[in-house]
Amino acid sequence: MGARQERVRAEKLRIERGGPEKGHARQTDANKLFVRDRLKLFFDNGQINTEYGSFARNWDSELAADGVVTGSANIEGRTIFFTASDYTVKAGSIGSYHAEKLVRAQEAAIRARRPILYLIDSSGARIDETGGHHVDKRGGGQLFYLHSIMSGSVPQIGVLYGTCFAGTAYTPVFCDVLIMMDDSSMAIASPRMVEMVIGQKVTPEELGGAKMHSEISGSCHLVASSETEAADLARKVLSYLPQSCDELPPSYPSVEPSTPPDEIDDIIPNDANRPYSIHRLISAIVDADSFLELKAGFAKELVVGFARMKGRVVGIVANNPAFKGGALFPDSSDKGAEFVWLCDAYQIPLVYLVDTPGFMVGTQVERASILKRGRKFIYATSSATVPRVCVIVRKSYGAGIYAMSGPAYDPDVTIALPSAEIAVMGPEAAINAVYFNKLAQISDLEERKVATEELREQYRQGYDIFKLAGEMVVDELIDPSSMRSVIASYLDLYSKKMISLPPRRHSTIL
Amino acid sequence: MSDVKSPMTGTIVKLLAQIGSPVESGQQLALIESMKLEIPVESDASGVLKSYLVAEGDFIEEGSTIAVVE
Repeated sequence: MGARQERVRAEKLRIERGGPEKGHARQTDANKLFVRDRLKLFFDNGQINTEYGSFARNWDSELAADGVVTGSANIEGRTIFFTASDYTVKAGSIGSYHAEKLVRAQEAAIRARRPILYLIDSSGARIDETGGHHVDKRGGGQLFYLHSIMSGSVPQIGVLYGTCFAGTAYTPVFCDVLIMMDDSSMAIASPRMVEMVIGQKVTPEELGGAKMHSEISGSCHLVASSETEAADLARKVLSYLPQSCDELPPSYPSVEPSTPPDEIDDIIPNDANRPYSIHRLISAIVDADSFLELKAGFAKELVVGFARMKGRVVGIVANNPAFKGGALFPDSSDKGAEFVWLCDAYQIPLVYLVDTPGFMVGTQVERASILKRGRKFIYATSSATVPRVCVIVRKSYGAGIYAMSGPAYDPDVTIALPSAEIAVMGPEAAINAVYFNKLAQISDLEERKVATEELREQYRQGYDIFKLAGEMVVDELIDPSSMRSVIASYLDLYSKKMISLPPRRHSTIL
Repeated sequence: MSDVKSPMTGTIVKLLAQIGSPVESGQQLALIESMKLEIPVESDASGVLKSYLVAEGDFIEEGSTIAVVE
């Protein structure tokens, strides 16, 4: 081997060892893997295909690769780009060349039309060398610009390790799917900064821990309790997504559902007051073990997630009657809108399972912008041009069905189960609203009760699903046990659907 | 001691347990009428029902404490 070749190899080996010993010790103490060991968990055969910029800043032996490994690798045989902070190098802080490497990875993903995976384990900007870099036309200041213009073009998946504040906390929230380690945290400013600026004392967990972001803020899609689990989840998420918006998601062999479809009719109680497990219903229509619920701990009244039906990737949007009766709240409206938008961006057909009393009412939700945020969900559904199947599972009152792709929202088909009830409101509220004065005039309480029940029964007959199927309010009333095969048939029928919306630059709703 | 909080804004239609009686985690302690539905309020903890802070017919906001289990 010649001296030049030897020098390259020796330097490369040094760089691949990462930061100084103390940096490695700190990473080990925090129970976190060294970045190059971490990366092996994600990629086929644990291998990186190409790495670039590894010699960045090679004149400084303490700044190997300037604290970030970037390149390409294969996941399930498909090539993606990645960036991965090296916490052993100055706590993964973003120096100027580090930022340049991140930006080049983003540009490469856009140009090559491939997903990008961000493994974030960084303390933020390297303050001692920023000096305006954060607003430079290129570099750190450009990261979020590129995140923005990539959004919906190529998938961006983030995994967050450790405590990531300020600059590094934006990348995770720009991702299509964010996985947080259960002991990680992110916030717009660190607890130390928060105390200095507003005098609030708070721990990283309270401020932006995985629990907070997965249950309260809704910024985190999935939580992992080990680095292996995080990598498995990232691989799984990518298995539902195409390489870019130009392609269809990959298909897999069909697998029978884990719950026999014959049980569907027994899963759904007739009484609209009685909760049931929407997860069990989902397990009776999708391929076994294919449902990956996103944001499961946040706004639980709406369940969203990827699944496969007869091998085809679908997005499931389902009201959850076991939580808050399945009513739609401001948070669940955001959750639904964002998921619908994600699926539409990546050509994932949508299956809506409707069982909702509608949008929640009252002062709390009005102050939290139920109208504005509910509008967002209705808008996302209305504008989604992927195949859409709406299944009326049980109650469907008020405007909830608009957001849930009801008949007027241009689904490709609306199917009803025999348990379906479609009405402006339930019988109790409707009779109270329409006949309040008339009923109040009946002084005998028993007589009033009988008259009320008669009116309710008349009202119920008005929304009897057989009557509504007769009037073609729904396209078809089906045997519950055929739900999976009917939905799958419609998804197949509309797999080449192409529709265009009227010309516009973009909507004014965000 | 554990506060049992309302999962939803609505009206208390029924209190389901006796003060001083044993309570299991997941046991329904009250029913709330909200959005034309009856929504159960379940205890997060096992113990003894120390008190109800609401009465049947009361309007309650989401997150407000309706009972204390210790």
